Amino acid sequence: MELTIDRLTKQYKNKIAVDRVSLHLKSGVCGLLGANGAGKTTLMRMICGVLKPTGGTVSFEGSDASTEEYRKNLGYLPQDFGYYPGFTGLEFLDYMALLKGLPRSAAKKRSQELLELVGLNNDGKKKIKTYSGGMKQRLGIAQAILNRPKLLVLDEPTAGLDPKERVRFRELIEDLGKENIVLLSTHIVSDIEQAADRILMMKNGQIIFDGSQSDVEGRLENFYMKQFGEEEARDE
Amino acid sequence: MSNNFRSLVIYEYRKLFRRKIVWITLAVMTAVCIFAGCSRLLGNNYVEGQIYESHKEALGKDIAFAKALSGRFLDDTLLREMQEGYSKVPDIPLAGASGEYENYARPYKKVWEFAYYIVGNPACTSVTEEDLYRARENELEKSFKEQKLSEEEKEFLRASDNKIEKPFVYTYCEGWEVLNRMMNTLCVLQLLLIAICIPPIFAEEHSQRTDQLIQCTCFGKRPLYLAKLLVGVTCSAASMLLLGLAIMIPLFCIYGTEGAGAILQLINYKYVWPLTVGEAALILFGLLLTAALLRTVLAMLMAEYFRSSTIPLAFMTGFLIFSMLFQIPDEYLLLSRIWDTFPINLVSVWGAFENRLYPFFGGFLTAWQAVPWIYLLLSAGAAALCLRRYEGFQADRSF
Repeated sequence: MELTIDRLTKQYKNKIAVDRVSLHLKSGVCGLLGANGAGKTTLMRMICGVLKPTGGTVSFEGSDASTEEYRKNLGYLPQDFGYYPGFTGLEFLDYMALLKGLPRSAAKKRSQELLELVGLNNDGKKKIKTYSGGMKQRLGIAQAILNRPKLLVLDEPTAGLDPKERVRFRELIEDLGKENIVLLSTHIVSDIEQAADRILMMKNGQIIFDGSQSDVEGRLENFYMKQFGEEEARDE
Repeated sequence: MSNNFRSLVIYEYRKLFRRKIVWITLAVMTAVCIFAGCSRLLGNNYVEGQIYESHKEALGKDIAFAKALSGRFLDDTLLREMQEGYSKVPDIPLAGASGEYENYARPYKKVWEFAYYIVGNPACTSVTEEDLYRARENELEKSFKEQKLSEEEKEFLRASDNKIEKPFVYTYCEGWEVLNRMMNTLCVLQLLLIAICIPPIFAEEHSQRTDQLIQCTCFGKRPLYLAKLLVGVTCSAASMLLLGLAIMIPLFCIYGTEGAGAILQLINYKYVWPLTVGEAALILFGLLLTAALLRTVLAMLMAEYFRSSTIPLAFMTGFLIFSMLFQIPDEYLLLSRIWDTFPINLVSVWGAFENRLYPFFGGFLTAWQAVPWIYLLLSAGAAALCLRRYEGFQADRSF
């Protein structure tokens, strides 16, 4: 099982958002770190096939990102997770499961299963518009794994989760990463520190660090600050 | 896949009918249709400030008089009876409220109206059968000339007109006549309904930011697009059936259902095709359905192109207002022909049943035969463009 990213590039007029990124991702959790505007979301969108690259390719086990076969293996939680306010949590998951190709009866069962997994089993029949931010985020995580994806792309998945939920989510990610490729982007360094087998750092559209926890000298947070300290300070 | 498709269609319906605006629009439009059908019953006729008769009473009398004439030839005998009756009406102000009008002229009102449309007033009070039908032929020839028809076309139309038996038989068909005339109102309501209810089917995915989620699922591209298209088209068609019934049921309750076999020339004397008013109503409704298809697909295309439901709404209502204020004269042949194929101009007794022809493999088709095919082709083209736009979705907004 391998995700191959080959010289992936996205250029907007005068700005290169992603600059010739090449990667080979195998099963495990891969954490993606970077400051705002580093190109993380653009890279993830191209990996999910919802943004066309200016150059380069993305393929999973030989299937290009634009194919149905590729999408069958994909789970995605975008940073700007959208939902239908009038749907209940259960309806939303059922609808997404159908879109992901689960048969009718399996869709219902899997939706119930995941509501339980993300702790929303008592709220499944409530409309999503009544959910708190954390509940919506948990629902987003649930929809991403409906089809048991071999490639799971999560853009800022822990935003809005309380510490307890974050711990539960990390455990879930670690579990999913045992057999699948999980690409996880976040600003929260500790999430990556604890869950990721491989760490990627992005700056100005390029991967500036690709290694494991053991390649990092000392704590990841310090290492991160060393790489982005000036930039983060400038952002603030 | 087929199971999932069915379920996706059901979910798309749910999404559509969970919007309050859809229910409000349907309710308002249904009420408008019912009111439009019943409006002639409301109010009174006044003479010198006093109620002379209610519209309901007047309608009852006119229907009874018209039914009494049903089945008679519009010939010299009937014309003379009408003229004698009208000659007894005194030449005074408010003659319509006189006893003479009531007793002698009013029973022939329908005959007077038919003659009046062709020769005008006062000629209708003295015209003979021969003069009346010659005047109609002259009117036809005049319109052929204005529309710059070729000799072949004229011959084709004359041959068609010869198939219609003359003198015409007057048949009571008030219900069908009003129904045919109200098809244009239905066409206007259709545009508004589609402009309000259909664009969100596509635009909502962008406004709710669910576009990225659905586009990276395996059935989120073509299958979901087809489900959305099916929901939009069937919803438009079903709402047309609903509004059609909302107009038809009150009309038939008031005027009765008789007269479906009356010749169309009783309500559009210039038409040369041997059609009945019942057939005309069916044809107009068929045109409404094909227009619904075209408008639905165009609304969806605009919604997907602009990722907004406001722009199609603004464009379609703006176009409606523009088309109500603007007409292209027949002398601008191509422009006026294109303009007349727009649903708002076509779906009416005078639009669908006009005499301009469309050449077709050495023969000719009339507007109502040719234009639905044009609508279908345009719909297919717009649907293909919309699919291209939908499948080529790019999550290129920044946050």
